[in-house]
This record gives sequence, C-alpha cells and structure tokens, in this order.
Amino acid sequence: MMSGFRYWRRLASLWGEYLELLAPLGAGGQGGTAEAEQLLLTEGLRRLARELGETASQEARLFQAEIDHLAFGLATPAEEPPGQAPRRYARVKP
Amino acid sequence: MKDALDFAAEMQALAVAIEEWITSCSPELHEALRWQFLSGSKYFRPLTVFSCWRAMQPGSITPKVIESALLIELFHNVSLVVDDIVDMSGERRGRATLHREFGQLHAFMTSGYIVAEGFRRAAADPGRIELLAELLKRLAVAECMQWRLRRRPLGFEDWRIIAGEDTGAMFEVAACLGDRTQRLRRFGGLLGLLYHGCDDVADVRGTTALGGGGFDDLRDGILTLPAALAIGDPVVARAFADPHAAPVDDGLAFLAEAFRAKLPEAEACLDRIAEEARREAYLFATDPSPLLALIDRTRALSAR
Repeated sequence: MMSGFRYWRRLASLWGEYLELLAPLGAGGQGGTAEAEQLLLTEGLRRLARELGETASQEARLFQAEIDHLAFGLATPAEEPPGQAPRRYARVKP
Repeated sequence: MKDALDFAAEMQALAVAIEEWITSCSPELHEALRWQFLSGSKYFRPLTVFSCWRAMQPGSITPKVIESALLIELFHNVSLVVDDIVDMSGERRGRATLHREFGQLHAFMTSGYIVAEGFRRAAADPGRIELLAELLKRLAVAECMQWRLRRRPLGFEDWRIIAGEDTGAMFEVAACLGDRTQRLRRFGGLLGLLYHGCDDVADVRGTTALGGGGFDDLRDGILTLPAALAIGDPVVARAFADPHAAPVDDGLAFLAEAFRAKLPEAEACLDRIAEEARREAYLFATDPSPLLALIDRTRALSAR
C-alpha cells in the first residue's frame, strides 16, 4: 500500500520536472543557441525517461523486499508456551 | 566510534590468500603474478565485497566472502593488464606495467591464465560463475562501445550508460558477490558510476596540472564526465569531434580548458550520484553504515 503511494508520488514529482524542463521553450528559450537548447532538452528528456524506469524498478524491488519480509514472518513457527518442552508432531517411521 | 570500513583482518586474510594462490600457480608465471598483484593495490573492489556483506548481515566475514574478494581482485587485474596493453601505458601504481616489464606475450598469457584460474576457483558455486561471466562480458562490450563512440558529441546520459557498463559492472558484481540476495546490485552500480566519474574528474585536474592520466582520454576523444558536460556547447562539441575544428590553433588545449571549466558542474553531478547511492543503501541495507562510509571514501577520490 505504502509502496503504491510512494510510487505515484515520485511519478508526480518527475512529471513536475518534465513540465519545468519544457517551460523555457514555450517562453522563447533560455537565450542560448537553438542547437544548444535542443541538446539540453534531449538530455533532460533522456534523464527523465531513465528516472521513470528506475523509479518503477526501485519500487518493485522495495515491494519485493516487503513481501519477502512478510513471508519470512509467516514462515517463523509459533513460540512454545513458556515452561513447556518443544513437542514433536511427527516421528520417523520404524 | 568504530570505523565502518575497518576490515584490516579481512584485508590481511585476502593478502595471504593472494600470496597462497600465486604460490599454487605455475612457477613460470610467479614473477609476473607477483609483479601484478603485490604492487600496492587499493583493494577497493574487495572492500566493496566486504562492505556489502557486512551491510546485510551481522557477524564476522566468512572464508567464502574472502574467496569472493579474491575472485573480484583477480578479474579486476585482468581488466587492468588488458587496459594497459591497449593504452600502451608504461606505468601503473608507480611502477612499470606488466607488459612493459615482461613483454606483451607474457602479459596476454598471464591475463588468460588469471581468468582461467578465476573460473576454476569459482567452479563449485554456479552463482559466482554466473556473476563473473556477466562481468567479463559486460566489460568487453563496454570497452568496445566506448571506443566506437569516441569523438561523438554525446552527453551525460550516454556517459552514464558507458560508465555504468564499465566500472559500474565491476562494482555491481562486487556488491552481488558480497550480498548474494542481489539487493545491493543497484547500489554497486551507482558506486561504480561514482568511482568512474571521480576518476574522470581527478584526471582532468591532473591534465591541467600537466602529465595527468586524462591526456590519453583527451587525445582519443573518450567521453569522460567533464567532456560529456562540456560538449553541451556546440562549439566544444565540434572541437571534440575534430580538434582541428576548434576556434584556436591548439584544439586539445581548447578542449582541456573547456573540460576544466565544467569541473564544478561535474562535482555537482557526482554529488547527485552519491545521493542516489545513499538512498539505495538506506532503502535496502540492514545496516547502511559501511555502505555510506564507502560512498564517502569513493566520493573523495575526485579531489586526489
């Protein structure tokens, strides 16, 4: 659940960066040459594309770690009541 | 407070393991192997193996982890020997390179011998074989890609891909050898990227101070971190593709100056990569302290 929220929050943040990147173009550029601006934009878009992929991958790995943690918890046998010797529920056949 | 990177006993055990391994090799290669391995290595990759192991589990480091550290050091040295031959480097770690001291044939054959020994030692553990095979294949592809893309006006994202497959692959595998769950794989990749970038920056500083290791990269048009940032300027990009197209007579001096001017920006990029690595350490390590210390030590390399 938390993983899902975090993922969407990070995507929203990346989307914000994407809009910021495009804004100067609409406002007539940053004062550099068209070629330099194009290079800058290309670099920015490539960075965002990479970060989109990395965010998804990182969240998937976090989710996997949470699931593993949960699974290990389920697999841990319940504790014996205090003072009682551990009981065997199965015996080797003669 | 205890130093999170205090692995003195483990490093000592590694040095003993290397010495014993050399003794077990053919006497024909003893001298060359000693020359290569017992010449003041920083053992940065074994340090990564140990740190990743300790970041994920309590207790002392096992002989199996020492063996993993030995394996990564073997393969790292193979990459150094081949690099030195290809770059025609005469010196490494303050002494003659293997091929300069023993000749090219000896250096090539020794590197092949080390690879074979590495896989032989890893034979009982298919997971380690898989990781080491991945490393050699990625290094081969990265070196060919870096050479094919020389003098191309690419950018930071391209640098990230090349460095990530080169030094990044080495540290990724070191991290996976340290923690076999592979949860620190991405951390290792980022650490390698950081290492590569710090080395690029330190080389540009060395170039401007004359005689630094960055001259070969500059001459060959290799995409280093400062270069990737500087060629965002179309004038520099044209000079990078062809130094004769520079607006001044000495094209290489023009490029060196343009790269030097980008050092503050390069340092800022490295800070961001270090931050990415810290985030990975916090998210995935049981005890991130050795990893954070490792990032700090790596980050300091750009100022050397």
